Amino acid sequence: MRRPLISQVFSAFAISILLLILASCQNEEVCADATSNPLRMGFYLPVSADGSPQAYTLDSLTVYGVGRPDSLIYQNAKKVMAIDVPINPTTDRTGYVIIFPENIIDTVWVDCTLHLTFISAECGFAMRPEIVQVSHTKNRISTFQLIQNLVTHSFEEHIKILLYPDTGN
Amino acid sequence: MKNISKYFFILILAISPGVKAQEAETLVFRQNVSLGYDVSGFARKLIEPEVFMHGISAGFEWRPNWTASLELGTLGIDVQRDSHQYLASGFFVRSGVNYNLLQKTSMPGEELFVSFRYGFGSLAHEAPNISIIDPYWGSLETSLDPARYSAHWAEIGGGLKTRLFWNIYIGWDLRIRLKLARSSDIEMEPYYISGFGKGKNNSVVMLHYSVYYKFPFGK
Repeated sequence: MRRPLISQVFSAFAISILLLILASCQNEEVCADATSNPLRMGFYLPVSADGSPQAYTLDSLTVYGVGRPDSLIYQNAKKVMAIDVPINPTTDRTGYVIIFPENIIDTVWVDCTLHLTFISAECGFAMRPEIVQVSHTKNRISTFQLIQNLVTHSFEEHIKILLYPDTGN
Repeated sequence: MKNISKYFFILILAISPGVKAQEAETLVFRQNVSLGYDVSGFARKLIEPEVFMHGISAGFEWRPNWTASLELGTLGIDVQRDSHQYLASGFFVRSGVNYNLLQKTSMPGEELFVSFRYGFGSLAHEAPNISIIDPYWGSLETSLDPARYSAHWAEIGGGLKTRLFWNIYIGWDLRIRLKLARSSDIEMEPYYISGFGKGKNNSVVMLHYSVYYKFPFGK
C-alpha cells in the first residue's frame, strides 16, 4: 500500500521552491517601479449633480519643481486630467509650479514625512512619503482634497485639485 | 540559464517516488521527544543569498496526538552593494502545541496536524551606506545607525508529517502569523523580523519544511 503523505510532502517542497523562484524575479524595471513613488494629483471642478467634484480636462499644462524651471516635468502637455510628479526624497517639503492655460500660474506645496524603507537586496532603499499637509496659491486652484496620504508605487490618486471654473475669453 | 538549471535539478530531486508498503501494526502510545531542523532557510538562501534563516525545534508528545513544541532560530542578513549596505542579525523563540488530526491506529507514522504558536523575535540592524537616487530631484546619501527591534506575534497553521525511515521524519507546514506588538519610535522597519517574516507586514504566510528525529521512550 502506498504511503500518500510522503509524496505530498515532497511535492509541497517542490512547489514552494517554484513559487519562491517566481516571486524573487527582479530586474531593473521592477526595481525602478518599486523605488519610485510618484504623487498623483487630479484636476476637478467643485460642482456636479450629486455634490462630488467633477473630473476636468485641461487643454494644456506645464509643470516643474520649485527651483527647477530648467527641468520641466510636463511641457505644454495637452488634454490633461491628472499629473504624476516626483516627491523630493531629500527634503520634507516639495513644491510644484503649475502653469495653466492663459498663463495662470499656481504653486502647490506638499509637506511629507519621509519613511525610509528597504525594498530588497537588489533594489536597495527608497523613501515612502506620507503626506502631512498641502498648501497652494489661489490663482486658478480653489481648494484641494487629500484622498490618500500614503504615497506608494500604485496608480491611485492622492490629491484632488479643485479649480475655479474656466471663465473663457 | 545557470540558475534555471540549478533549480530544475533541485525540482527533480524533490519529486521522488513513493516508498514501499508497511504493514499495519498494533500501536501502544509512547511518549516521545523529537528534534527537528527547518530546512526552508536553505531554499530561501537560493533565492536571496544575502538572507539566511534557520531554526531548530523540540517537540514532546505527552499524550496521544498532542505535542508541545519549542522552536529557536536565528536570522542573518548581509547586503553589500555599491549603492547600499544593509546588515541585520537576530534570534527568535516560538512555543506552542500541535494537534494531530489523524488517528494513530489507521495511519501509523503519519501526521496531519494543526499548530498554534506564540512567537518573539529580536534583532539588530543597520545600514552604513544608503544612496537614494531620484532622476529629477537628485540623490540622497544617508545611513541608518545601529538599532534594535523586537516583535511579538501569534500564529496558526497546519501541515503534514510522515516517517521517512527508522525514526527520521519529514514534513511541511503552512503558518499564518499576526503581529501583536513591535518596537515603537523606530527609524526604519527591518527587512525581515527573525522568525516572523517581512518586517513591513502586519501579517504573513510562511511555508516551513523540516526534518525530524523522534526519540521514543516511556511507558
